[in-house]
Amino acid sequence: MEFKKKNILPFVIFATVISGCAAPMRSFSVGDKIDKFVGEYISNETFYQYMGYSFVTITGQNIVVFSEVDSNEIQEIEKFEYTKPSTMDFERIESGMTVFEAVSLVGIPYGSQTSGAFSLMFKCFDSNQDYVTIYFNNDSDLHLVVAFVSF
Amino acid sequence: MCLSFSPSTNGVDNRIDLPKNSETISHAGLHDGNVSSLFNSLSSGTVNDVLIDDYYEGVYFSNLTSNFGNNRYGSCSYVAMGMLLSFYDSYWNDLIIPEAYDNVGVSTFVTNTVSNFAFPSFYAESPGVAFEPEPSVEGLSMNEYLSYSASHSGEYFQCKLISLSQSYFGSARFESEESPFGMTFSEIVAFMSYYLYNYLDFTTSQIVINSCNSSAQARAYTVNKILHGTPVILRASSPTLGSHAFIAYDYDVLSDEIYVHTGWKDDASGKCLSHVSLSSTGFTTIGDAISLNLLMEASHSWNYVSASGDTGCACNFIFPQEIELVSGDYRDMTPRFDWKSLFKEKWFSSYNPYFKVSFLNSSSAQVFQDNAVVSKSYTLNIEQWDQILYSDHSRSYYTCVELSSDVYPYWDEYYAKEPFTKPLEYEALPVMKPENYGFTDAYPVDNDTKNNFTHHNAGGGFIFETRRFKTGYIHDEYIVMSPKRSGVTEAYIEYRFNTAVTRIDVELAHWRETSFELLTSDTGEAAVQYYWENRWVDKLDLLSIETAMTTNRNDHVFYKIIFETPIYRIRFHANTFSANTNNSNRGRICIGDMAFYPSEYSLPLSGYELNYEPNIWNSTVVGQFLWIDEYLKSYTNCYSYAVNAQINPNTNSLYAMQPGQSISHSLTQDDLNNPNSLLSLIESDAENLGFGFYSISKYTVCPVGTYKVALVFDPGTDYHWYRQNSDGTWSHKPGPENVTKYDGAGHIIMDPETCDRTSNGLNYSLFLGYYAIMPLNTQYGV
Repeated sequence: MEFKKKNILPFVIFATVISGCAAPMRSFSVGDKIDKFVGEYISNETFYQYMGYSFVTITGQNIVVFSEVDSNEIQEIEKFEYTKPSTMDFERIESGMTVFEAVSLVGIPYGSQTSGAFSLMFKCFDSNQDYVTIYFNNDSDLHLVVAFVSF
Repeated sequence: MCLSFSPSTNGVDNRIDLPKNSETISHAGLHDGNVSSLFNSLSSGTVNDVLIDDYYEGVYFSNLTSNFGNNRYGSCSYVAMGMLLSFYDSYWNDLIIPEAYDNVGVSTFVTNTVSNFAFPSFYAESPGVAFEPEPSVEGLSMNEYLSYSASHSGEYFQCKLISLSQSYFGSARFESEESPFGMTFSEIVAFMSYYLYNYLDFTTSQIVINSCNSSAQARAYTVNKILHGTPVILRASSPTLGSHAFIAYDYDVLSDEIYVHTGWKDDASGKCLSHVSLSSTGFTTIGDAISLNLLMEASHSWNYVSASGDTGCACNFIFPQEIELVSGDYRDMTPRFDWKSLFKEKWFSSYNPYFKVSFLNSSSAQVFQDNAVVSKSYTLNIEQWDQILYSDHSRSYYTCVELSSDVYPYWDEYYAKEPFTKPLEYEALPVMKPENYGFTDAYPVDNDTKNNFTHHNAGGGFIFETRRFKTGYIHDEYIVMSPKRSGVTEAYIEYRFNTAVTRIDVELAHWRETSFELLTSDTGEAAVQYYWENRWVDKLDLLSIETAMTTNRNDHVFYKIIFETPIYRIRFHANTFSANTNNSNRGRICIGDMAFYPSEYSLPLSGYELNYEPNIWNSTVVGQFLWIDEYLKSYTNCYSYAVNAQINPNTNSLYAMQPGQSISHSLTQDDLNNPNSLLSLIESDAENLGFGFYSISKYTVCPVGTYKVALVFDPGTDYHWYRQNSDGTWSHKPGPENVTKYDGAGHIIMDPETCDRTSNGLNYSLFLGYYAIMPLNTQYGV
């Protein structure tokens, strides 16, 4: 299986290196300008945007930001400790979970393969399959919520 | 038993041991009423009917229709011997028949004006021998005939042979009135030997007599000889007509039929059976066969004589003649040209002769040449034929065949050159002729004709539509555009094809001199255009110097217009730069016969397809930040693109659509495992949102207001959409990525069913179908 968004190997190396670094991270919070956040991290190889969500791994933390289209403000931001998710972690994903909840369990996504359905791909570190796809629906607030996990 | 036969000595003892196993006497002659009836019932072929046509045997015997002896008193064996010997006298060595008996008749010649050299035509009467006039021997008794032969043995070759035979066999041999001159196989071989080795003093190192007197093997022996250019005296029997000696020299490989010269002629009527199948004669029981093998070197025999006194040798038949177009003569059929030449004959085999085949335009300028042709036939390929057809605006071209050799460079002046006319008709392609449009003799300017398409059928299932302005079928001649008249500055005819075309050939002309019509590149524009990515693109400038469109509409000049990608829409368009004041129709351009080259793509347009405008999806910025742009494409997907909904009608916001969203359905794994579930959800969306979604054949034109989309499926993983563009190509939007008209392999999508449907590592392998939909047109920012 291949996917288009990312070159995995540099990312893995990079993520491994930065997870041990203690470089100071600029602090973003709800209400900050989203373009400043994007501008800060868009050159980071782990940075990825999908349907209003921005994902990046920096200084050992997985950061998820949500901003509605047309809005220039961060409406939600959460930081999670960088992890190497296993199959067991993916099995803990449940339908209806938010993107934030999913990232807290399995890290940030590497991209999306699907053309029609909403989905994000995540690396599974103990699986021969390497990648696991989580499908999403949108709720009434146009937030993505987990539909199902496809191993 | 087949063997080579030659005497043990070359001395005067002409009595030799004769083979015994074929005692059949050949004697069938025209004096026999049954033979005469057979003669009258059969028709002879000509040199054009010869099947083994690489050798002189076919040319010689099919054209030997007069110059041989008369068949009297069962003398068929003498006739056959005389014919066979005369063949070698012209073919290989002029001494095989003494000069006194060489015929001095006149043969047709052809003249090569370049080399100032005349040589025998392939239709030239073969030299043969001087022969006794039929009236001179008509009605003679046998003794009178013997006496005539003796007294004319210095003039006529057959008389000489009969005189010699009397010496050889003894006069007692000729006492039977039943069959006075008939001979057995053994007698023919022996007498041939006597003639060659005793009378003419040839040796067995110069000529060998080969024969086969096994009836079981004689046929195969004969066929093998014919196939190698060696004619055979073939003796065969008929249940009713007895035995006869033929010259077998041609063979039909497919029907296993031997063709023969019968030795029968009627000088009064000029009829001669020089090329008939053996089976048609009824002499179907083959007895034995005799042939000669000449071991000496060939020498010229200038036995062909023209009316003007030119002489020609058999070896002159190596020069190419008679170039013929033997295939159909159509613009869409690659032609085959055949010519006559005996370039494979043994005369010049050491020179390895071959041909240079050239095609010249009407000015004799070379269009192309193939300089290594080793056959007497040349079939052009499509590119070569196109080169000729479009080499200039003339209707004529030349085919030129030149004899050549890498060893003997002196033949280059000996070539055949024939003029041919470029065809106007097509054999297989759909063609539309002006008279078939159903247009009236007028230049319409009404809105109905301008806006609405008219249906046409060019044959072969090729359907198309036209709409036009200031263009009509004029004077029962051409479809004519006239953009120059008071109140008018434009004329056009637009074509929309049900099947995309890769090429059209079209006959074009000015109505007359542009000094009268007043439409030039200084005063206006005229072009053949094709519709591509939402605009008309010039393909052929009709007013340019390069196009040099003829001002004589009777020239019938065709133009080929090739499209890199299959095209559904073209038009002929003309306009003037400024307003016109003339009150008659001017600037007229004629459109004549048009041939269409259909592609494999037949997904006709409805006219309601949306333009392919990827930028309004790919480059529209929806978030104006300080220095980071956020694009619309990130919030839309293939479904949004298929129904043309940048704003999701379910949420009234910029957001990608999902099947079933209109009924608040959340996509499940079952939906992605089951295409019917997915289709049901889309049908619900279509009903609730009002975009139609009707299953439709790819070959069907969508109803008014709708266009085609295609739905595909990667089972268990995802769905994907394609939509048809206004130029007939297809485009799609892979998820949040750019709208594109290219498939997974980088090719322009002409048919989503057959294109490469891989994307981002997925393979949308299941094609669910084509659907007609109405666009939602919920555009961002509108």
